[in-house]
Amino acid sequence: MLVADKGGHMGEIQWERDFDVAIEKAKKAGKPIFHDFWFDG
Amino acid sequence: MNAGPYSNEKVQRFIEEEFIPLKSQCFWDKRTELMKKFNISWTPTFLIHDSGGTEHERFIGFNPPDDFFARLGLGKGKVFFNHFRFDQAIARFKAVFERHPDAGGTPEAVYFLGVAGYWKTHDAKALRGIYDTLTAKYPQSEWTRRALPYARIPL
Repeated sequence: MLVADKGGHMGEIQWERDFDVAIEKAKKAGKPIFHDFWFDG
Repeated sequence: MNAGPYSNEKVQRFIEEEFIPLKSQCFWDKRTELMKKFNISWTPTFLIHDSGGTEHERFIGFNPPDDFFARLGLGKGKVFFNHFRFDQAIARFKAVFERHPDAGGTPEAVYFLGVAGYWKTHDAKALRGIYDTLTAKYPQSEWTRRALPYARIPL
């Protein structure tokens, strides 16, 4: 089931909200970061 | 309502599997530190960072799924390319070309596919291949014009 997240998008993506935490997760996972800058307007 | 690229389940899965997804809200009346750090001046702005936080790709505005997929693949390929991991970069750029031939970012992926091939083999024919492919498939692209000097490389 698709659910709306706080960003106004639809999806099941588990978004990180903290840049530094994302960096730590990326280092551990060996993955790059996909970063969405969004505006609720 | 425009649900954006994340309404596509393949996009969702690809982002979850290939990246650490990070979302940052923008406020124009009081710009956040991240907006200042990355010079965000319009939304949506999408960045691809390596695991050290360095930006390797940026794209702005609405992107239909095919264009969006190609940009994600191109961005991940650039992360590998810029770290001189050419086998992995080649795999990414090649996938963009083969799976999304009509996407906006694909001519750029073809260009970097050839350059990564050159770095891997040091064979200038890889650069000539860029010119030949881009001329045949994307004659109007700026990336075809960037490849013009490679037309003089003999096959």
